[in-house]
Amino acid sequence: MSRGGRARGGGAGRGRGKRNWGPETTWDVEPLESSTTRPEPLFPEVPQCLPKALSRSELDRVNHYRHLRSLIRDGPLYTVLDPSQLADDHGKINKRSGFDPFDGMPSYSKRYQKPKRLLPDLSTRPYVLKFFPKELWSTLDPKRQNPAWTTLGPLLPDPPGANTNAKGKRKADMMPTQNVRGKRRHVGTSSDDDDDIILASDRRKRAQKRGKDVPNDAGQRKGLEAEDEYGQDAEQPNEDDQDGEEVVEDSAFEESDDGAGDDYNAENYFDAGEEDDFDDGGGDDEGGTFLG
Amino acid sequence: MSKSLAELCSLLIEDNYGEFYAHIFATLLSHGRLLALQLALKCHLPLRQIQHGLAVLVQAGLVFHHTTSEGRTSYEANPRNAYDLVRPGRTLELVQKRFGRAASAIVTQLLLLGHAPVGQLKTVNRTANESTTVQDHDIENDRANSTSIVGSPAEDRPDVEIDNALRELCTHGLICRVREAHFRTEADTRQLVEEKVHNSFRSTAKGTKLKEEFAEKVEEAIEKEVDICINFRKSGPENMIPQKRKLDDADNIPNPKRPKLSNGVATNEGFDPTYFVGDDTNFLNDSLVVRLNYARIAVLFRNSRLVSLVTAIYGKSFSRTYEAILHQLEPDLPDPKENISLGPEQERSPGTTSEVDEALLAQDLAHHETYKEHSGSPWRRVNGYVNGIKHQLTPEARSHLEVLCQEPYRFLSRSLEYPDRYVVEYSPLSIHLRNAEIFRIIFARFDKYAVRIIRVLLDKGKLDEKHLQETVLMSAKELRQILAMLQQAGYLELQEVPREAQRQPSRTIYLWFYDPDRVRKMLIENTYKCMARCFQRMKVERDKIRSTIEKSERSDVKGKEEKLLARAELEVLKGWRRKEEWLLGEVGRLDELIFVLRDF
Repeated sequence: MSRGGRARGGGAGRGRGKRNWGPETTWDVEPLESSTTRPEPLFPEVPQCLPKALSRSELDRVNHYRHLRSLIRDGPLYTVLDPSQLADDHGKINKRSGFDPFDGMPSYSKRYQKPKRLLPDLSTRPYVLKFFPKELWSTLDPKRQNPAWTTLGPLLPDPPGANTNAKGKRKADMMPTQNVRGKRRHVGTSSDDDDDIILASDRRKRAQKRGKDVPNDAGQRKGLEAEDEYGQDAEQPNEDDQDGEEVVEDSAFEESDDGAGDDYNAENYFDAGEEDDFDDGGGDDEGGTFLG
Repeated sequence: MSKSLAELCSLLIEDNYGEFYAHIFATLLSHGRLLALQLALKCHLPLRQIQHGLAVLVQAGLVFHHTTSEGRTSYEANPRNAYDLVRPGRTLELVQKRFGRAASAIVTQLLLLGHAPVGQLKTVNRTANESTTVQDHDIENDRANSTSIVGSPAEDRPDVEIDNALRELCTHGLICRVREAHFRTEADTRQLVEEKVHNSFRSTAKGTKLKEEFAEKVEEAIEKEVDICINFRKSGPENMIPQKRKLDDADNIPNPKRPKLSNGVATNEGFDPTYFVGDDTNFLNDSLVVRLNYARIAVLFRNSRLVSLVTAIYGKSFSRTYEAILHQLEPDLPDPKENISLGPEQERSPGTTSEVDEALLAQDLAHHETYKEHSGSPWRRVNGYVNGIKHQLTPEARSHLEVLCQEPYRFLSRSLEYPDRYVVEYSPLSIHLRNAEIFRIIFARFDKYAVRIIRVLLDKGKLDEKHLQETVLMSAKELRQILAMLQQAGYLELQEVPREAQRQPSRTIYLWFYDPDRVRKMLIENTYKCMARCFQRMKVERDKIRSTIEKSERSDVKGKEEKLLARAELEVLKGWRRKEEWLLGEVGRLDELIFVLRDF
């Protein structure tokens, strides 16, 4: 075989690939010739050209940019997006998504870590309300201290609650008409507290029912259910506005308490058991062993 | 709106403000105009969070909004302003260099706040002033630490200093007024204005004339709606006292036309810092809402580009004269037209010209010289006049002006009406700059022959291969190779002109041509993409060493990195700083390209 290859290669057409009878199997004999027919490497060597070093003023620019960026990042507005906030296509929120089982568990040293902000803190500065759409006014200035509110009094017959009504039919459908009326009446009487009387009492009842089993810790971030959010809780955003960072509470706990078929709720299991059994008993036990 | 620009914009927002806003912005960009509730559904976020996010985005000027008469508010992304998030570094550097530290503190504050009333700027400023010194975040700040900032003499009088800086920024148009129309898209503004005009429109004209009259009225009203001027044209109770320079009484002494920052030299020359404050209690109304005008940065940058071009062509002394001229013109120059859609070349406003007076120029040059003797820093900080002496142009300066008027560049030209005034015609110069940039890119990617071919085609228009071969003086084989390469890269295009109806290839003429506009758009697109890749790379690199970065950001570690972190961790952080520097520096260079190709 090799002889045949040589004989052919020695022919006149060698090197130009003109005569190429039969299968070429003599790569080992003639590496030069065969290398031209090989496929190109997938990642060929690319000549690297090094860019010019940054000049002084360019460096200045970069540092200015970084400085400003760090100012923004340390400020009240820089907000990260946590996967646990995002609802899926069915409007359900997975509280555990994005949770890191290895590093995510709370630990002592975590308290030094830079806290992640999930909702911007808008209360740190005054705003020029006339540049914002009116539906955002109550978000920006929940206490209605800005003088711009008074100028709008007669023009805006249905402040925040009704205003959010106008935005989506869906919400309007879901809300009983009685509530709407209640809201209007309420707005006429006081301007400082935006909560609807009926909804607020409803909420109070829920809170009572929830009782001490689930402590309503302001700092604790809970998952939220989109359906719920669109429906009822969003109606009174203003109460929550006052405690900056807290994400809207949800009613998942309460539903499961009612025994709606959710027998095994891992979170409840820990939360409920924490105070009674584990802590006290464990502490005693430990104390006992130490003493002993 | 291209894909790569959209990508870049959301990456920029993410880098500056956080993923949350980038998510909202990207959704708005991909879906177009949305109501808040629709946006909440598309973003998979609760409405309340969306409202918070939108509030911040509106404050930063990144989102347009529009409320219909029924009260439905829709939102739309503003990619133009989002792109400008690349530029704060350049802006701050430029402002600090030219207007001093107080001005840069004001600009920092404005950048943080988005838009703010002047009163707020004045009060917050003092606290910001101390912290504005640029610190290199590098742990071992070797190089950048030398960016020390010269302390300003008016340090003991902060109000005066800040007032002066504010005034200076206003005169140069870097700060501009915010109007409600700036939060609407152009189309919305037009519609609103048309409705308004339609209601009040009364005319006796008919037919096309009526239409013309109506259109004129609408244009006028729109102009009024989007007017960003603070100081010129109008003077209302909210405005600054009008300060437009009058060329006719240029010799008047004292000359309050162009108040400049009193810095360094001022004390030597008897400049009283209270001068401007004394007669100016209503200088800027505290309730006037202002924002940073990025379009102005393009003007300043264009000037610096032109000056460096003059330096390259004629030399240092010429460039100094030219710089003086350009600096004189700056306050009066209109902003370059903002067109992100990149219309054809002809649509740009043709004559962005402005005149310069010889006497004023002489003054500036004289100061320039005296200032140079005092210290080596830039001449800009010089006071406007000295003891009322009128300066004559030196013969040397006069010859400089003559040379600058020469072909082919024509950096200057004489005014037709007044023999002692000069005009700078910006649009041909901008085109020249742009072409030079494109040629530079082609030279870097191919070779000098490619540039030669492009230049010939730019000059001659469409050419047959045979004629092209004769003109560029190259052999057919070489020429074809280069033409093919250029066409593949998108710089050249081929047109077929059949001589018969059958369109036989043998009976067809093939014409090569170079379309500068198309090439410009292509390059801009590529640049956007390249910048986006830089930011993506930054993200990847940061993710690789996330744990170390998080550790260095811990509240007990921050500021004491050297003490608390291990040597290896310090090395990693240092390396990351270097990498980020490179990438951001690269982004800055690409941004310069965007300036030249899009904004000039």
